[in-house]
Amino acid sequence: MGRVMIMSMDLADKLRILGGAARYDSACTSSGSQRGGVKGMTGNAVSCGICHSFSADGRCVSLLKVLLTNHCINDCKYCYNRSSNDIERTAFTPEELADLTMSFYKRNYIEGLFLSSGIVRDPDYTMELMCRVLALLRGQYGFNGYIHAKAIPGGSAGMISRLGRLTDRLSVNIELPSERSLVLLAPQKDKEKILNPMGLIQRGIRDRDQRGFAPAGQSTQMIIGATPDTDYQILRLSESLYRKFELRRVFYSAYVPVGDHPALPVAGKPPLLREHRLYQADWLLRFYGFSADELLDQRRPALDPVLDPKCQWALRHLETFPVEVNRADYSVLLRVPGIGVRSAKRICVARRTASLDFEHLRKLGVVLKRAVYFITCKGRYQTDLKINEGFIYRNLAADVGSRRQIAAPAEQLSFFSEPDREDAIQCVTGEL
Amino acid sequence: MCDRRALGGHLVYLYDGSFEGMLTAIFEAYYREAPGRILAEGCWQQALDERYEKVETDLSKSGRVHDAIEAKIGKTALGMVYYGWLSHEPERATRIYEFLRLGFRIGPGITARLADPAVDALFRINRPVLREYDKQRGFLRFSVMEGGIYYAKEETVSYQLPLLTPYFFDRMTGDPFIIHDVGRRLAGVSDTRQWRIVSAETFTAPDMSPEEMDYRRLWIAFHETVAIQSRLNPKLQSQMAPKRYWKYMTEMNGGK
Repeated sequence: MGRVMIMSMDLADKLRILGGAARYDSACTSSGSQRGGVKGMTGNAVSCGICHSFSADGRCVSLLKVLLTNHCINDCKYCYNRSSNDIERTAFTPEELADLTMSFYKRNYIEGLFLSSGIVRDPDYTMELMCRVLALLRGQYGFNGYIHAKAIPGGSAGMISRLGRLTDRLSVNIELPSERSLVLLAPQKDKEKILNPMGLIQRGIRDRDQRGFAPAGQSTQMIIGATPDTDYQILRLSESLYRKFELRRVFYSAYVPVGDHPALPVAGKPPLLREHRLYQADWLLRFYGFSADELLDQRRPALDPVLDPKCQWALRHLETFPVEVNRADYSVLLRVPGIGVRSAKRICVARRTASLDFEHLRKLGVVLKRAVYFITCKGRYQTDLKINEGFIYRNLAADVGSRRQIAAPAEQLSFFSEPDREDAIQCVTGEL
Repeated sequence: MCDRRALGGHLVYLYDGSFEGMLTAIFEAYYREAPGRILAEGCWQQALDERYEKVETDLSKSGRVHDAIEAKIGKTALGMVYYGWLSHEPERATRIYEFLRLGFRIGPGITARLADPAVDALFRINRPVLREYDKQRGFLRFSVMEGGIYYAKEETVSYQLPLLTPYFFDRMTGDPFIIHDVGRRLAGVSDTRQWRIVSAETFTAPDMSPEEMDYRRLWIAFHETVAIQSRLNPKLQSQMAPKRYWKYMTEMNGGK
């Protein structure tokens, strides 16, 4: 590695630089793999994942998330590690990183390693370096815990297959939600360079043999708010990624200004509320049976800042309500605001032995202040309600408004709202 | 001595706090006299209209109740009873007894009766136990001590050692460890071949290994680094990692 000069740097400094450089990647989950401990090795994996800490921004810390090196030949305008950015560069040795992972893991600081890297020389050479670290960790150090690695855009089939056998999860970041944006801001990347490795990973997972290949599947990330792409475009893209590439997760990362390219938005607060709404909508795609076209369309391409996407959808489809909770199908219950996956399942179980009323629903975890406008129990609304769109909207919005000041809905890209209570849900669930 | 029975007081069984003791009390409830409440010794307040009877733990009686629950109501219900026992809720055994009374009447279907008050009450007791287990699996912090022993302290609200010790026994395969429940003066211990829970009344922790402080500093440095400054949200942070856990979390207590 000819370009890595600083070998005498203190390990703490390296960790600060290479951990700091990786923090904009929002995927820190250790979920999707389940395996018990193995004699002679260290570690196991729990399918729901485990959060080991929470950083000062409230995000879950589950993995030691670092770059192998922040040297990079690419100059993506939105990226902190772009070659034109004047920052200190360094790299871990494989031994340093393996030792850190083991020492942190055994102290129960982390659930495993998240390894990404700047691109050294070329994509395959970079993945070769990553494989060396992971092979050392899995082999000599006997690490049986969780590993998430980034496949490098433009990497070959051979390297991806090696990487896949060493990891629980692989991801290739889409980064920018449209080809036009890629051309503008990431000139060295193109759609093919990103989608090819995704297809290779998908094939690796499908043809998985006993040696295992990314048992926790693949994920990706998109940066939100660095480009004029709309929520509608983003959700359409996510939907097709889930369908075509069978991704487990798409992560959304509110753009934090790290560059001053004329095509990038000027410094401001990261669009956290927008990120949160996208996660909610993403949940609706994956677990609630919604399609992107039901939530948004060309004429209303932005998610509503005031109401969550499920409330929004329900208000536009009052003709499908009210729903009688004692009879409605599971798939219909899922579409009621205030009823989540868990409470819908509980309703279906509980109503087999009892006819449910509103008090029962409260016990089952239904959020009645949202649900009351859309359901009946034994044929009755909870109270006399005037059910029309304006009435419900005012009530739902008043409830949100009492928790935070709402800026008037504005054009996409311009609402940079303060972090608020609702963002709290982000890391754990997206239940609506 | 005044005869409480003559005063018509409600019967309360007191058990020794163990899982087997609680099941023995439930056995007595069926084969001797039905109580109004079942309580663990040492966490009850005497009431005028109650009479108290100590139940001697009897493994054959508790075994019969254990097997009957599993055979007649099912594994899920047995799990709920066990998690309920781990709870710190003073009335946990009473709630478990009420749950089982219904369970023995209607069988495995009971776990579907989510809206029934007796079932709901036990679910409500279970939930914080499982939530704390979930948190503590992540927030527990080991230190490496002299001789390569991993040592962690905790003060949990519910009794977590019976869940955490086997979990870490699986995770730590090759390394001996001690999880010290400071509040209950107990310890979950593994010598890598097996685990058990022992008294920690007279326990003193071994000395820290020389490199321990270095790794703590590295972890604290990493933890500071990952926070994005323009997204700072301390409220969210303490919502996700409640402050009562911070005492023993290396990155929250300054590595003490």
